[in-house]
Amino acid sequence: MNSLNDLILETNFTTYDFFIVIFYLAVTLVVGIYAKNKIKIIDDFIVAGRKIGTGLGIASMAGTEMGLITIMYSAQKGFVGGFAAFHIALIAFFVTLFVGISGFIIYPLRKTNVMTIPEYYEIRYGKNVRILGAIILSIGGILNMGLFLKVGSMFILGILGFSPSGLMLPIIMTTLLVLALIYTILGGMFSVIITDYIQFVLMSFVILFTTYFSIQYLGWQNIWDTVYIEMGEGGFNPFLDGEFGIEYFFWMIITAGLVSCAIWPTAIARALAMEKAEDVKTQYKWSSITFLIRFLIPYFWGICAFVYFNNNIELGNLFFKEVNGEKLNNLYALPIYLSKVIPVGFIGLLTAGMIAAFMSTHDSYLLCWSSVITQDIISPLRKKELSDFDRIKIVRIIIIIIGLYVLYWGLIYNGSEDVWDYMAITGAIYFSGAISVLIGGLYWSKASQKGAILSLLGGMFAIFGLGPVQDAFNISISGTRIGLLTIILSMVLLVLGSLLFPDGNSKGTKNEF
Amino acid sequence: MNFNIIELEILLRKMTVLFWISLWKFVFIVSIFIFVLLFIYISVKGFLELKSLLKNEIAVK
Repeated sequence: MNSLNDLILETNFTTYDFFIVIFYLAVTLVVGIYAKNKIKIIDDFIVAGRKIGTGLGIASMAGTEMGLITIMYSAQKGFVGGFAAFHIALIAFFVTLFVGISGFIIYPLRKTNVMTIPEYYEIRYGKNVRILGAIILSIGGILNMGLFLKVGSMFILGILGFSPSGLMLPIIMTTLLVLALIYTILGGMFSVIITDYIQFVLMSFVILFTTYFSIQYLGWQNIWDTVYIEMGEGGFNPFLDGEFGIEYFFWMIITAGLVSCAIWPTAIARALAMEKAEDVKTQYKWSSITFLIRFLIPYFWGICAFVYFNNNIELGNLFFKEVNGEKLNNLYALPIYLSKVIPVGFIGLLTAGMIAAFMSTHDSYLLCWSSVITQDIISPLRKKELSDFDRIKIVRIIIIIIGLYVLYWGLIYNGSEDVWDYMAITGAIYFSGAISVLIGGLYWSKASQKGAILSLLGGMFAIFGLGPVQDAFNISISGTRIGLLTIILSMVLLVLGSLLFPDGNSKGTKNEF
Repeated sequence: MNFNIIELEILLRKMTVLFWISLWKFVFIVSIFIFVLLFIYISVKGFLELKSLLKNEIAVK
C-alpha cells in the first residue's frame, strides 16, 4: 500500500496554489466586512431578499446550490453509474421547470405569506403539528448534514495529496469545522451579496475550466469508449437494473426533483422570500437550468475520474482492486483525479472555490436547523416569550452543538451506501411526511390535524433505509424501496387519519389550481 | 424473407446504446452551451446590480 500512497502524494497542488487559496479567503473576508458596513439593505437581503434584482438573486441561488457536498456526491454517482447518472440531472431540470410553470406547492405556499414550513403547519393544522413537524425536520435535516464535514474534508485531503489512512482526515475535519463555526457565529457575514456574487463567478469559471481540462487530458471519444468498454449498456441506460433501474428513477423524481426544489427547507426559503407570488414561478423556471448543471457537471467529472483510473492501471488499483480486503473509498476518486489533471494555478482557484462553497453550505445549513429548533420548537414550548438576545444566544449554542455532532458523526458513521443515497434516505425522514402534509394542506380541504400528525410520524420509517439501522434490525431492503414505501405510508396515513379523525372546524385551503 | 433473430437482438441492443449515447452527448453539449450563456448574462447583470447596490440605489427588479 506504501507505493500507492506515494502515487496519491503526487499532486499538482503547489505553494503557489496554497497562496491563491489564502488570498481568495482573505479577499472574501475583507469584502464581507466591507459589504457589511457599507450596504444598508443587507438585513433585508438576509431576511427576505425582497429588494434584490434577478441577476444577483440567481447568482446567489446558484452559488449556494453548487456546494462542495453536491459536487462530491454527484461525482461519486458519476463514478459508479457512468453517463446513466445523467438522468438524475434531467429529472431535476424537468421537475423544477414543471414546478416553475405550474406553481405546484410553491405558489399557494407563498400566497399564505408564511416564512417557514413549520409556520405553515401551525396556520393550517395547529401548534402541535408545528412543533412535531419541526422536531422531525430537525432530526432529518441534522442527520442529513452528518456527512458534510467528512466528505468536504476528504476532498481537501485528496487534492492536497495527503494519505487517507493517517490522522490527517480528523485534523482537516476539525480545522474546517472551527472555520465554519467562526464563519457562521460571526453572523453569517460572508453570505452577503458581494461574496455570493464573487463565488458564483469563481465557481462558474471553475466548472468551465475543469471540464475543459478533463476533456483535453482524457480525450472526448476516449471518455465515451472507456465507459462503454468497462460498464457496457449499464453505463448509459438508467432503466437497466444495477446501479439505477425503474424504481430508482421514480425515487429520483421525488428526491432530486420535487423535494430538492419544492419541499427542502433551504430551497423553499427562497420561494417564500420572493416579493410577489408570481415572481416565484419565474425564479423556478430560471433555476431549472442551475438545478440541471449542479448535478450534470459533477457527474461528468466523476465519469472522467472513472476513465482516468481505468486508463491508469497503477492508480486504478486504488479503487478497483481490494488490498487487504479493502478498497479506497471512491469519494477520493474526484479529488485525487483533479489533483493530477488540473494544472498549477488553476488547481488553487478550484480549491479556493470549493472551500468557499463548503463554508457557504455549512453557514446556511447550521443557521437553518438551529433557527428551526429555536423558533419552532423551543420558543413555542416556553410560556414566557424569548427576547431577541436570548434567541440569538440559543441559536449560537445550538450551532456549536450541531457542529460537534457533525464531527462525531463523520468519524463514526460507517454506512456502505453512496453519499447521495444516504442523503436521500435521511432527508426522507422529514420529506416523506412533509410531501403529504404540504400537498394535503394546500390542495385537500379535508386534511386534518390528526391525519397530519400520523403522516409526519409515518415518515420516520425512512430511517430503516440506512445501512447501520438495517444491520441492527437484521433486515435487507434497498433504501430506494424503503423511501418509496415510506412516502406511500405517509400519504395513506394522512388520508385515513383525516377521514377517521376530521377537524371540528376545517381550516382547509381551497384548491389553488 | 430470412432473418436471424439473434442478429436482430444484437442490432436492437446496439441501437439502444447508440440512442442513449447520442441523448447524453446532446444533453451535455446543450447544457454547457446554456450554462455559458447564463454565466455571461448573470455575471454582467449581477455586476451592474451590485454597482447600483453599492451606491445604495436599491436594485428592484
